[in-house]
Parts: sequence; C-alpha cells; structure tokens
Amino acid sequence: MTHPTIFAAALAVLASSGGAPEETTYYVGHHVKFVNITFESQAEIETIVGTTNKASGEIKADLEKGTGSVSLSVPVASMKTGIDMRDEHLRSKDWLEAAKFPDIMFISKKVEKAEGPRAKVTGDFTMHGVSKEVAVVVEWKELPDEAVKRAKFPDGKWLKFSAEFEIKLSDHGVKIPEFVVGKVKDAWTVKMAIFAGTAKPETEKK
Amino acid sequence: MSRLRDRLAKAALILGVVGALASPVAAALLSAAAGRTVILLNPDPPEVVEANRALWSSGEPVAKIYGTPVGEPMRILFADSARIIVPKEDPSLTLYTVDKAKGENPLQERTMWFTVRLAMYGSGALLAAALLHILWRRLRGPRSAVSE
Repeated sequence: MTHPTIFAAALAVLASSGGAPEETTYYVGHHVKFVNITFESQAEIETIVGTTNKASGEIKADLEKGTGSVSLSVPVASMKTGIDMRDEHLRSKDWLEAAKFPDIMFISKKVEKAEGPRAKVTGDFTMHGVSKEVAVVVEWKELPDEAVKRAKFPDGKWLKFSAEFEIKLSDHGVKIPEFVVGKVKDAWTVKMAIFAGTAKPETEKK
Repeated sequence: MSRLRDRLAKAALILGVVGALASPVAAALLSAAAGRTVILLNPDPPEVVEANRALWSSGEPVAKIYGTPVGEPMRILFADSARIIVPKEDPSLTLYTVDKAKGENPLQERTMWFTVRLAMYGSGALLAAALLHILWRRLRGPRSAVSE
C-alpha cells in the first residue's frame, strides 16, 4: 500500500465516522419578511405584544449532528408594540436605553443535539448591556428546493429556525418604573421564526 | 352650603349606583355584541406563508403556517373582518392578524374589564361618600333640631 492510498483510506474512515465537522453557514437578515419575532407579556390591563422583523447574524449548523453555533442581533429601534408612545418609552432610559445599547444579541456557547430536528443552544443573551446565560431549544426545518422556487426565495438552501423562550427584564438590569408595577410583568415570552439561507445577504432590504 | 352638600350627595348617590351597576352590564352587553375570540397573529407575507405551508405537516399547530401566534386565545372588541383568517387546514380556528409596525393594537376585552373595574372603584367611592353624608345628616339632624 502506498502512502497516498493509506491517506485516502484514512480520510474515508474519518468522513464515515463523522470526525470532521460538516457545518454549513446560514445567514439571517436577507429581508424583513424572513424574520418574525414576537415578545409578549401578560399585563393587568392587556396582553402586551411587540414584534420585530429585523435581525441579522449567522447560524452555523451541522444538521446531522445537531451541532453548530449561533450569533444573532436585533436592533431595539425595530421593536414595535403598536403604540408609538409605548415604543418610545421602551427605547427610553427607563427601559432598554436604545441610544446606549442599540442591539439585543444572542451568542451561543454550546450546542447540543436534542430529540428530532432540534438542538439545545446555550449562550449569552445580552439586552440593555447585561448578559445572561440562557438555554433555548431550537427547532429547524429544511425547505425543499421546489418550495424555495415556488415561494420565490433567493437561491440556495433555506432553513426555518423556530424557538420560544422566556426572559426576565430584571435579569438585564431593567427596573420596571414603580408607577407601572403590576401593569407590566417582569417575565416576557419571546418567539422566533426565522428563515436563514446559505446565500450571503447582499444588503439589508426593507 | 348645606343644601349644596345635599345636592352633591344626591348626585354622588345616583352616579355611584349607576356607575357600579351600569358599567359592568354595559361591558357584558358590548362583549356579547362586539366581542370575538381570536388568536392574535404576527402575520407572514404570502410567499413566506407558502414556504410555511410546505414545511407544515398534519398535527402541527396550524397558526404557524400564517405567522407567529401570540399568547392564548383572547376576546377582542370591534374586530376588523378583513384581518380575520379562518385557516382551511382547521376552520375551527380564528386568527387575527396584528401588524404592530402599522400601529395595529386591537382592543382587548381585558382592557375593557380593567376600565370597568376602575369605574366601579370610582362609583363605589362616590356611593360610599353619599351614604356617609346621608348617615351624617340623619345623626346630626335631631341634635341640630334640639339646639334650635
């Protein structure tokens, strides 16, 4: 057996045993229509609902192994609650201080395969300049090529990532002003549905 | 001065009784006439709905085909019929699209009951003030008659 043959055989064994990572990079932020994020809180006066369709970042994933990494960023200024005055208040010094901390970020530290097409992603969720480690179960689905064409998505592989998790304002140094205590709860539920594709976003489109 | 106080007490008594009784009745009637139980939905555009439909399989939440559902089903008032989606995959559902970027914020029944509760507290306070005045007049009446 020659050396090149041994080398090729070794490579084949390595590939079949899954030794080398096969991560693909999926980009977030091609267009606002591919991002659907909601945040909600049960308040005394109403269920407060906010949304944003802006996010950018990368998800590197090996779908077979359920491993990879995630880095996402959402601009605070893009968050809307349906009432302009409330949005201004949300961005103000009393709440998220958008001028000082313009983005909410999530950067993964560990990704573990979970049951089915899911992974438990543990990472730092940073809001209001304060990071807190959170663990989020992320589900993904691969969009068939035919569906990519039918839905007129840009070329490339597309995955839909979905996740739901809870955050507490107090964990991020946001103190609810006393006059609204009881009307706004500390805990917020965040739901994310994001289509990410292998093609690099050219420029952010509205 | 005493006559003015009596009149104010009378007005407070009427307002208190009407407010305490009428506001919850009116709210219940409004809920029955203009309320609708829906699931709020941050909608996806048609091409994304198409993609969601391709990914959906029977047994999964239907609402996710059309966007991101928010919270539990809730009653809203004065729903705009153009924003209602009854999914063909499950016609028992009523989804209500809410585009927060366009400033849409449907009036939730919970908000109405919150206001009714405030109105009832206010009415209760008026009623209590009126009853206290009446009581005070009754107690004071004979004494003032003796002194005269």
